[in-house]
Amino acid sequence: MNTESSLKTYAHGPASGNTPKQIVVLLHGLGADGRDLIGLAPEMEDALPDAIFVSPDAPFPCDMAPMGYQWFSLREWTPEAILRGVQQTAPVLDVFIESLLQKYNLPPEKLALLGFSQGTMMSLYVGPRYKDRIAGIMGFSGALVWDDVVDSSLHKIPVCLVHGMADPIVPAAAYYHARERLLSEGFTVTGHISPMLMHSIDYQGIEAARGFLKNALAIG
Amino acid sequence: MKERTIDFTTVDGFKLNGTLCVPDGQVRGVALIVSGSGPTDRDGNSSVRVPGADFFGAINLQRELAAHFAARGIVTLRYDKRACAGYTAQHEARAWDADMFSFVNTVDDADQAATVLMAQPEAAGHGLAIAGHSEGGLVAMMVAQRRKTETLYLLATCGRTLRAVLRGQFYDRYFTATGDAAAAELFAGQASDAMQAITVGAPLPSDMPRSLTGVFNDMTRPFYRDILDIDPQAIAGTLACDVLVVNGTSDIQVNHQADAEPLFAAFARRAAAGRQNLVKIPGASHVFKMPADPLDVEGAFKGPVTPALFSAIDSFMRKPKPGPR
Repeated sequence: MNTESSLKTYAHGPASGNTPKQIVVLLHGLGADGRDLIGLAPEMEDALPDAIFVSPDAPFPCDMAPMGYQWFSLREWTPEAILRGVQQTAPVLDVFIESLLQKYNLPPEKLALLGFSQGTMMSLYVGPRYKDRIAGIMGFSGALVWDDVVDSSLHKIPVCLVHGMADPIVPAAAYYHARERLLSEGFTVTGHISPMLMHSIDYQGIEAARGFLKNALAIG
Repeated sequence: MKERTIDFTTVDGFKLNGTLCVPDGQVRGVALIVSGSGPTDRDGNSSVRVPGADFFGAINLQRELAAHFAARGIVTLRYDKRACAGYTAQHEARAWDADMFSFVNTVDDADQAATVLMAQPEAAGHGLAIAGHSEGGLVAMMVAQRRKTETLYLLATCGRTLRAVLRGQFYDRYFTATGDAAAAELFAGQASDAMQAITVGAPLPSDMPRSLTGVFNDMTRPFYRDILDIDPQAIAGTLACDVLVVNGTSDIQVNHQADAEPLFAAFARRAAAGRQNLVKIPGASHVFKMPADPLDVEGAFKGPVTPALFSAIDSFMRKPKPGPR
């Protein structure tokens, strides 16, 4: 596999100053860039002092706004088009994950994915299908796009999902759909719905992410 | 009832699609139905078809509302908002305009929809009613300021400025997560600083925590700029029309005590007022479904609209007009 990744990245940590012992990959949503979610790192670094947080720009310029990037186009808002988009970009993320593990000389179980919206859709597709078992997936405000795809080789890694009940972009129903589907596949799924939260990440969600990632990456 | 498609063009040239719903029998009135925030379609559902979006089934509040109005002889127009996914080709075809989804445009679109509705032959000789849900209720009030409106149906409509609502929510959510009142106050203060920067057109504070940058950023700035300080209670005082305020007691987005009661009180203080009523539906959610409790998310979205909403509308329609006072 070609392990050279061309994605532009933003990094933060480790807060301890040590060599990274864990990697948290942050995958932004439509129209944002790597700088967006790297802002989460300072709010989680005390729980993950030896982790490096890496937040790449998605590979494609956003085609719905003159700024930011996208993992796939959302010109067609249909489940089929979204699945197609995720599947087409998945190899890019596979290569990126491989390159990080090689760069920091860490095993896959020391890498976790954290996504927001479209980044969560990517994480929930790529994470269980990565060639080796990674630590887990923290997904904010996203959806599971492989509803009808049966794949016996999935890694049943821990998943934590957080979603706003008042989300007008990706409805809260998508949280329940993802949760039910993952549970039925044998995944361990934790997380919560945030009352009043719209399409965003709130402090309760960050608290959930801190706890989940610390546990999934076996810290402490 | 019969339905037909109505396409119309907004004042800035955007082509919107709607449905005119016409009763089978005698026409007794005309109502515009305005949906709430986000890319909500004419039926009250998210137009974003991500997998799982329909896991609870369709919400269909506006669709059921139109059917009920038709059963009472009321012609309605409901339409897909300009943020809906079905308009993607138009979004792409236009030069990027950060104000495309501004609140001002949202109100302009509803006003144009009212013009189109009142131009239909079935509307001849009737006065306009506007039924707005959630943010659509605020839009309805602002349209009623612009044009003669006989009746407002304000469903789950916020009664406070968004600035006040957001500040309170940021405090509550932070405090719930941490139990630290001082830190929650600091966090809410950072949110206030960001809102103030938007109001005065200044750059957003560079030290905003990530849990705020997702809300306040350059993409959302035009929307918040227009809406943060719109005061529903002040608008209520300027309107002379009939008004029905309806709110569920299990609505965790728009609170029946903090929003519906003061909003109705502002209407009740009017010197020249028509019929007015406040109905609180016990146990109803934001979209007037019947959850087991306020935090039962599935129940909050699933199932039919509670008949209590339609009973409230029927009772209001039967309410006699008040005499001079």
